[in-house]
Amino acid sequence: MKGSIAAGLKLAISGVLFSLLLTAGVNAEALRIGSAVEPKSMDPQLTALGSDLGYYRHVYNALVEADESLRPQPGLAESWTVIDDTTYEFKLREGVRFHDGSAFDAEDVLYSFERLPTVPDGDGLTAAKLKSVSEIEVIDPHLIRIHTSTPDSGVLRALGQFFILPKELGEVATEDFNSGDAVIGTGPFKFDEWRRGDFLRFSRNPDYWGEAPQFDDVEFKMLSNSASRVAALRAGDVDLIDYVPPLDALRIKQDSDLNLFTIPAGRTILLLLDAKRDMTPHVFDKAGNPLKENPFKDKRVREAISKSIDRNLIVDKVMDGLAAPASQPMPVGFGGYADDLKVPESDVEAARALMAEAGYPEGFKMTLNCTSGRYINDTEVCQAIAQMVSRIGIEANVDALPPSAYFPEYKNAAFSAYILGWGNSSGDASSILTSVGHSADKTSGRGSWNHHYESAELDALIEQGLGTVDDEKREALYADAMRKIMEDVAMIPLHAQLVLVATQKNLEYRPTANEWTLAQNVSLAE
Amino acid sequence: MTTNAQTPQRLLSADLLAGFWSSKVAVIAAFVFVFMVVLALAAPWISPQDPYDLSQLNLLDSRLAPFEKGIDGTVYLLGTDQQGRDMFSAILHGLRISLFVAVVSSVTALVIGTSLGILSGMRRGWLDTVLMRIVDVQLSIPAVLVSLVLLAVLGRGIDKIIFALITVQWVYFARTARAATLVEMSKDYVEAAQSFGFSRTRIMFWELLPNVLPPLLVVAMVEFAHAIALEATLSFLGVGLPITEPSLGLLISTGFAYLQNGEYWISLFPGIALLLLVFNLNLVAEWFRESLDSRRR
Amino acid sequence: MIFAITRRSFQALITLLILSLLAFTAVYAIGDPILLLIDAQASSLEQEALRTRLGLDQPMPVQYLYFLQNLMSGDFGRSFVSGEPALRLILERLPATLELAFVALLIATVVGVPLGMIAGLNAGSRFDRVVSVFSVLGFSVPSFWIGIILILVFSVQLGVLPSFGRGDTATLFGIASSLWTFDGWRHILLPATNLALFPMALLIRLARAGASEAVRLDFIKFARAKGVTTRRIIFVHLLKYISISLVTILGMQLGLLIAFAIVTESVFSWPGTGKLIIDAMNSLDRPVIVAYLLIVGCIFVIANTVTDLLYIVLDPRIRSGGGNDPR
Repeated sequence: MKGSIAAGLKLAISGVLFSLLLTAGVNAEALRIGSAVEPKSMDPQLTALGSDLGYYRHVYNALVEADESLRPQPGLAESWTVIDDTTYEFKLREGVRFHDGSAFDAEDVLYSFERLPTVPDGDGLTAAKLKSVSEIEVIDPHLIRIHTSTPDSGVLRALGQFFILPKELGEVATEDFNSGDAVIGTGPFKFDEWRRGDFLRFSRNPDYWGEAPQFDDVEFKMLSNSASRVAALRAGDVDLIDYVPPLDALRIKQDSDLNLFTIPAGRTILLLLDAKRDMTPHVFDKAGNPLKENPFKDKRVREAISKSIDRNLIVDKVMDGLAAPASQPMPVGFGGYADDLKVPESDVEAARALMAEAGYPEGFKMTLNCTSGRYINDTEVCQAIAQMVSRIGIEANVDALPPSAYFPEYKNAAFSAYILGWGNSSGDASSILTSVGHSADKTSGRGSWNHHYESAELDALIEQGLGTVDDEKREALYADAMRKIMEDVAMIPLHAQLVLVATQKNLEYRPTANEWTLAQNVSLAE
Repeated sequence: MTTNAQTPQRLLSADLLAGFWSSKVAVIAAFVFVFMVVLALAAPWISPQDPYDLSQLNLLDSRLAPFEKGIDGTVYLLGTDQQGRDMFSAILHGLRISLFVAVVSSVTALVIGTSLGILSGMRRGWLDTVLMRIVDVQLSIPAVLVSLVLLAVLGRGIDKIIFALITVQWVYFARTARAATLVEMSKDYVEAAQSFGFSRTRIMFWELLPNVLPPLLVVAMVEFAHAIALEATLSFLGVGLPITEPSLGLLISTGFAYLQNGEYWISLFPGIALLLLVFNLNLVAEWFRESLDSRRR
Repeated sequence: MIFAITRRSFQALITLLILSLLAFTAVYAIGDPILLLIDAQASSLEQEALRTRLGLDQPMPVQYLYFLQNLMSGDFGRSFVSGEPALRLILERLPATLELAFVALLIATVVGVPLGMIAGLNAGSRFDRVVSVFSVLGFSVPSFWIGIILILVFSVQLGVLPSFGRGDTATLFGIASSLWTFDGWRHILLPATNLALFPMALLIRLARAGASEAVRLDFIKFARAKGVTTRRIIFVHLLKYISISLVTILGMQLGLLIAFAIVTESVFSWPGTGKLIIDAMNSLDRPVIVAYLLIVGCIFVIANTVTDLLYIVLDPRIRSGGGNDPR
């Protein structure tokens, strides 16, 4: 105990001296961040929840790291080359040290890869994304080759959430991470203290190999209530807050004491209609009797609903202008976005005509299923849609469920008309096309979120894209898939959310499209 | 029945009512409460808008301040919410829902709790032991917690919240009814009825019930107010009613997010309505309780 | 008396067992946590694997037996969400809640008892009427609404007190608490006042009843006749007279406040057990919900049993516990 205190003191003193000597001019203040989501654990290999990965990124590095717009950039791997369809070669960075002083080399990569699937109670998600990796071949301590069993265009992006732990840890359990003892990485910050539900503290790693962060100490305050978060920023109790509610974002933008930073997030909100089954559970005639046929199988009805929705009005009034009306399921700037697609115009007259043509001049009744508290203003968005479809005779009853009740029902295909927000955190269209676009297929695991639409043509496009390692060709195929989806009204995209981060006037922030809140992206304003 | 002459039924007699009229607080409170009930009942006829008919709402009119004009020139007395819903209409209908939930749950709880309580007090024995054990356990756990767990299991919905409220409330009636029954059982008129050979059911409904009623009425009033408050709390915590037909608690909850930005009306006005409703009802109940207590002495 | 005590303790044990069964059964039905734990993109095969790992594929009675067996060894299961022992999660949060409940009780006592006693001594006066209307207010108005108004007035309008969260903590006498810092007190003031309203109303009522009853008693009349000052009557004779019932009430209230804190903690984002349980309900974190119910249940049962035993010791005629009416 005494030894560790002495060591800690020594470390602290040397840290202070170091920062005094070498970083003159850099402000050595504490940064306080009001954070919406608390990490589930500090074990970087337990889960791959988007909200946790951001925290891990402070302490750890990955071989390949996503930049703000989610393009792969060098991390612990200085560079890489594609040897053939199933082999990547990575040149590892030399002279990098872990927080405990041990040197980083290929053995650490191997150790981390081997621990990944063995973590008890883990979600196994990162391991699943790296499933195609058949072997990591160590050529020399700073040169490795990753072999995959089949051509897999997703590996490079998946490596971005595979954090490297020091092999010196040996056998460690998740609890060792949560207590902080095992939280040792190569990242810009060292772990300090975590009090669940209250705060998480990091301190600067003075020996960081990359660009040095501007702050010595970082404290994440856990403020899950958005109103509290905003109040804390206004009161000056925190320097930065994430997940700013659009309503407040608007006011913060006009406030001369605060700054607002945005970037289009990877998350698009979609309205899905069951166009698959012959009878669908939640559609009724005006008297309330179940309809014998499923109106959503008729493309004209789907198109009428799409046309009745005024996306700009939703963005304006419900999202307070802080979202982008969507022309397709992919947000602008992401791999697979088709430039030529336009945001569908709202046209109630044309929509009514389409309904009459399809044989529903009087409309029908339906339940619109909706999450509450999963996406920004989700229930408000649904209520707005219900209001808009009422103009073409569709009486929509909004049924909003908390995520815990909603998603099990979703998986049971219990809905007829419902919403889904898909976070494209990988930076391209592969995940949404695989899981929501492709028709359901148990053996390959594709289409696990698709209960609404089947098309052999679309499936073929997707499969072709997934097997194409060349970036440009693959993204062209994905864009074709987008066109097919929009033409057939297979999904009704509504808007893409924005990442909204607010800071005090004296700070600047570089937001990232994957919604990670990173202290290393905070800098003092000029 | 002549035996009734010596029973506490006199407590609800004319001189009690006379005393009521002389208490300013009680009269005003009762008046405000009745006025709000009338407003709620008349809601479909007097509210300017049907807040649940989505085709009557317009998103363009969302979050207007009190007295602001909408796009078609309508003036919104108490402003609008984030869907362009007229707050005045929403509050009237919200009152209706809150009252409906409270009436159904308290009346059902009253019937169930009173029957079980009287039965328990009359028969004693194992039934009494088991029932009172359950009552004790349930009374030792706060109602919020019990209903929260129930709703977490059952899910959201008006039927589910009513069920949860009944489950929470019946014990209060059962305890009061049992205690009153025990007192009455020792009195002459019950013994007289028994000696006449009247059946147990007859004694229960014709002799006992009218006499244990006064204390139960006070409990009923308090529980009615309690039901309104509890429903509002649960809806505020997000486990109560669905958003499509908002009760007062839900209106307050949705407005909470806007409160800190100065758009106070979405939360504040329904809150005032809730406050008036519950507070006044409790004042009346309080007056009755004290009057009954002082007369019993 | 020994028999009564043993019997009462045995009853408490049975109650706890029933509680554990109810908590487990109730929470079992909530839904499928797998879909929340695993990312959207995971395949159904991976979901099944996780289900097996967490033991969710076992039939319910088997799960319950495992659960009971683990309870005996102090293991309340692991949080599905964080992988941490559920008991530890709750114990980590408990100090914040206890702190809040303690300060609330302090406020309630310091304000409520004198108000009630003065009102009781002057029964029927204007002051008495105002106080009793105030106590009805404290009983009847939902506490979340008062919390919102407190935030609106003191944080939004006046900007004098923070509206959320717990302040800095410091360690004194080996206890880490936010009560040792100024910042901590700034943060606790609003939520504690909010939480204090209900027990305050209760204490006002009890103290008022006690005082108005006591003035009719001989020893107070005697003291008055002897010319003892009113203040002395209140603080020496009267306080002593009603303190026994007050102390037992206070003991029970502390337990109840932990549960009431669910609402207050939600309004003020107080990082205690109440907020934990709401979060756990939203993410279907079953072990945490069960552990919370059992621990809070334990606190209630122990508080009630101790109170009952006290009654038995103080007054052997009373056999069943009563009078405890938690709203």
